Amino acid sequence: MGIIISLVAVIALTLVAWIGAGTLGLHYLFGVIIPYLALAAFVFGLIYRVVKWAKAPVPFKITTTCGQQKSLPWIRHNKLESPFTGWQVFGRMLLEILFFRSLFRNTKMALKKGPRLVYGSEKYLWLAGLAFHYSFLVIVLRHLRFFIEPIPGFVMAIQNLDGFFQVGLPIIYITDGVILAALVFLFFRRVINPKVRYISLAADYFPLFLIGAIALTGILMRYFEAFKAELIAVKELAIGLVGFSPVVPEGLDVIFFIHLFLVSVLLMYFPMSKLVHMGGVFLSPTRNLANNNRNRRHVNPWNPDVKVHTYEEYEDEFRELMKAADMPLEKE
Amino acid sequence: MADDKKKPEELANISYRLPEKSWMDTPVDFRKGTYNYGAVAEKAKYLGLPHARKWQPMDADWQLPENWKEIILEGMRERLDKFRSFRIFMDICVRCGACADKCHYFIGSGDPKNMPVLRAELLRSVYRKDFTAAGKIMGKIAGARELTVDVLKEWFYYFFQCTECRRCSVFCPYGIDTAEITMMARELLNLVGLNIDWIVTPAANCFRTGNHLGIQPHGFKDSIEFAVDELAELTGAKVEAPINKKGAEILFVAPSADYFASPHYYTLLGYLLLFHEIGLDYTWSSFASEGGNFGLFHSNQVMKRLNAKIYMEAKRLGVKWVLGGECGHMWRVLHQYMDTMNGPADFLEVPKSPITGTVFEHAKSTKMIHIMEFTSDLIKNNKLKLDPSRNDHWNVTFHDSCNPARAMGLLEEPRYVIKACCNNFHEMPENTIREQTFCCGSGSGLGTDENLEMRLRGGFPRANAVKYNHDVYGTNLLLCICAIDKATLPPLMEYWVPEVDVGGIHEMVGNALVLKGETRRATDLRGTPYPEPEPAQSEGKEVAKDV
Amino acid sequence: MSLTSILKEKKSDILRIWFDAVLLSYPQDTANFLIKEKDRFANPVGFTYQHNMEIIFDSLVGTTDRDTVLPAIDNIVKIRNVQNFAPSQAVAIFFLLKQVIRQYTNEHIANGYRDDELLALDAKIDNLALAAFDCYSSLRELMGDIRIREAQRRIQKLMDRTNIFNDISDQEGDATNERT
Repeated sequence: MGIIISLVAVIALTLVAWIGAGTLGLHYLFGVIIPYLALAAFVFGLIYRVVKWAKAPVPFKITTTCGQQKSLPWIRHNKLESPFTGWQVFGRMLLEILFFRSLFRNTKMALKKGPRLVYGSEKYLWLAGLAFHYSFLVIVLRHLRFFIEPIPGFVMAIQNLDGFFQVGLPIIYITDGVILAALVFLFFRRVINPKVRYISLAADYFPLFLIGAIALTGILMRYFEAFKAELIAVKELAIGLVGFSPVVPEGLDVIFFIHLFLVSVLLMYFPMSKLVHMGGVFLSPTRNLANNNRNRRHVNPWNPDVKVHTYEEYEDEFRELMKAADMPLEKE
Repeated sequence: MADDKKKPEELANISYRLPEKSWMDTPVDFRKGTYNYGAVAEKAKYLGLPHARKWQPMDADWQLPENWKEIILEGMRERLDKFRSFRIFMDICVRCGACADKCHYFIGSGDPKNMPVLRAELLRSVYRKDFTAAGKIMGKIAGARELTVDVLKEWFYYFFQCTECRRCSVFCPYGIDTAEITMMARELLNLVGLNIDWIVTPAANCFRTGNHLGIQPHGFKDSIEFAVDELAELTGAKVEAPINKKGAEILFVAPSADYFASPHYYTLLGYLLLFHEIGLDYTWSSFASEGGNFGLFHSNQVMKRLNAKIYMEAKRLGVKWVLGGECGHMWRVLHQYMDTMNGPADFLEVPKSPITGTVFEHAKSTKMIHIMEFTSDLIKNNKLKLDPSRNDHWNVTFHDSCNPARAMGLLEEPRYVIKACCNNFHEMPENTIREQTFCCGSGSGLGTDENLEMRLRGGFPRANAVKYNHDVYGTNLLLCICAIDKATLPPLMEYWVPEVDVGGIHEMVGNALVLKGETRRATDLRGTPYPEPEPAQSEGKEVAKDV
Repeated sequence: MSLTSILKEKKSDILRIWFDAVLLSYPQDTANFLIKEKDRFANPVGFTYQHNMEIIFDSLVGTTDRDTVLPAIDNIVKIRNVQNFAPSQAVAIFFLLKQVIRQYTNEHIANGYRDDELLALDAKIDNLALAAFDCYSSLRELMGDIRIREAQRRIQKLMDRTNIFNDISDQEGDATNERT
């Protein structure tokens, strides 16, 4: 159900751009207005989300410890899985954000000869996740060459690295293939694994299809003669957008507008969807807090006043019994 | 043979083929044996909890307050503003499914709503409907749904079917912690008077008398003295166990089950022997006679109210620092909440072992250390004479209790002590121990007899790993450092691996500990006779093995 | 061909169908997982089923002795006993075997076997089911005992101290190991 709704939605969005920019020729709308709106929605939406998270206080230090705490000097402390200092937390977050540490831990039950059941390691999800996110990052960075003139060195470097194998003309980028492969894996995992399928919502399929469509249109424009985009025109548009003096040059095909429109949709959709996990992971209290609770007091800004049962009340209630049992008393 | 044309399942007359339905439309079936009874009204009233009333989960009408929906949604709004964890965990799940098969209840039951992600979605779907734009506009497509009485019943069923063990949170790429979500959901349910008796009654008892069972001060004293007498019989040692003694150096707090229940009691004997042997200047307290804190399973407020006693009592008695016994959730509270809630403990000193001189810098703010930290330091510094052969009748394995493992990181200390006290120790299979340990299936206030079926299901993955050890190594004792474990693993073992007993680590310490001038012991702390002639005549060996 | 040799030869096929039929006894949500899961035995529940169903099946063709097959039945019933099944449903999976075998032989085996063979097989399966029924009731008794013993253990030392129920608690140690 979710799959069909999402697929239909992405196709409909493609048609909107096709008809709007192609048939109706609304180039300024699709080339300038919508991208600006999308960017604004992305920036303000993301800020709104992050501010909302950041404004909510962290009343308790609830680190999930995945390794030995720091206690006695002769017991080896696991600095990254149970960080004690700020720098160690930084290290843990770095592992989490750059290498998806927790996902790497993933296990799967399997039958071994015997027969016996073991909880073995399961790395495919980690691998596909990592492949997807890094490809996405590289592709976004590569696109900077359209927006900045002269093209910065690091963008050229990334581009060269990505085209390392020097195969094809134009040179094929590794990430173009990898991102498609990762998307296909993630999609089929959702469909085939009964557990994941059961929990999947339309909101899980939609981004997969949307990003898939963006990647496909991009690849068509780069590698297929029939769809080749006029690079000079694209760059003119991009530079104009960045400089806030937008012009819509001649020679842009409908496929480019579809690509741009889908990217705009992604930008708008981003802050209000699960895709904000990108921002959220930095703020996740089970990961970004040190396991030094007993060493450094954590302050709860709304620590409530509660009714407690005092020793005096307790002794008042049980004084006679305590006296009879010869227990020390505050008041005889 | 017309019957033969039917499908097998039809012949067995089992009509399970329900129409295909999404999880949102499958209501809960309250089957006896799989849920806990509702809180007793008097106990809830004693704690001043809202909407205390007589009700049971199997009743059709839960007698909810008129404006229950408003109360819940308002409570949700309040908590979204007070807990960053709650807000973030509601927003960022991508449903990758890494947590799905990590939950012991899911593994044992196959019930999809026991997948951590779906357990959270029960709450998240309502969050989307009422607190996000997408959910308000697109409804079900965005994974949103209306809060109804059926949804509330579902919450009750499944959030009192999570043991807050945090195993899923280890695997989540964003650190989403279902325990935190369950805690929020339970706080919300409390607002309309829905809680379970096994949580509210111990909490109320503890508030009044200082311990879960509601034993009054003289009863507490009798219990400790009874243990002292029994130790004299078992070992000949004349142990002192001061209670409410002002000016003692250390306040010792253990879970109350240690002095009422079996096999906890043997751990108590172990503590007493140890403190006696090293001549520790310490005191018990009848007022703070409970380390456990069922408030953790109820709400942050009740947790704080119960926990306050420990610092109050430490102050009244004028001790220097506090030592805590073998308990699981107690240590989550002590390690992650106590200082924040009831600190700063500026009237105490940084814990320092009077025997070894070790200063426990890592606890310099909270001023409370775990007995595993204390004892392993004693052993490391050769302060104890241990004869591990006195535990040779046991072939042990160690169950990491959820909270010390995943909310504290106490992994090596217990192992060090076990290795010093036992000759036969084998770990359970990889990925079922340490931070990936499987829950006993009865934590977070769910260890009741009415819930036994669910517990046996949920404990199956743990039992399965123990069974493996039993089959391969001949394991006959499952060690743990948690009072709930000690109460609930024995039934679990009786059902799944009847050959395996359950014990605490300080029971092993008590057995192995060679007292000064001690004559040979005839029995272990359980009163089981040692074979004649006795093993490795009690020179004892000084143990200083490295971890 | 004799029925026994058919069963021996087609063991893996029949076991698979039986396993599928057993999975269908779960609510659909759950069954879907177990059936669709690629390695459906790769969880403690599926594993216990698979391992023990094979032993039980072997007993039908006479290669397993009673001492082996009873624990196997017990292991399976143990799981079903604590899951959401009525007593009849908990033991029904053994009767399913009759239908599974009939259906399989009807569909796949051209030349028939003798009726008396089938009757003998039915009798064996009935015996399995009766043994399962015994297991089920003794497990129910065990659960009752577990509940009582757990309640006792909770206040064991309180009882010892106050000397109430002393006679019961004295037996406690033995009672724990009574069932094997």
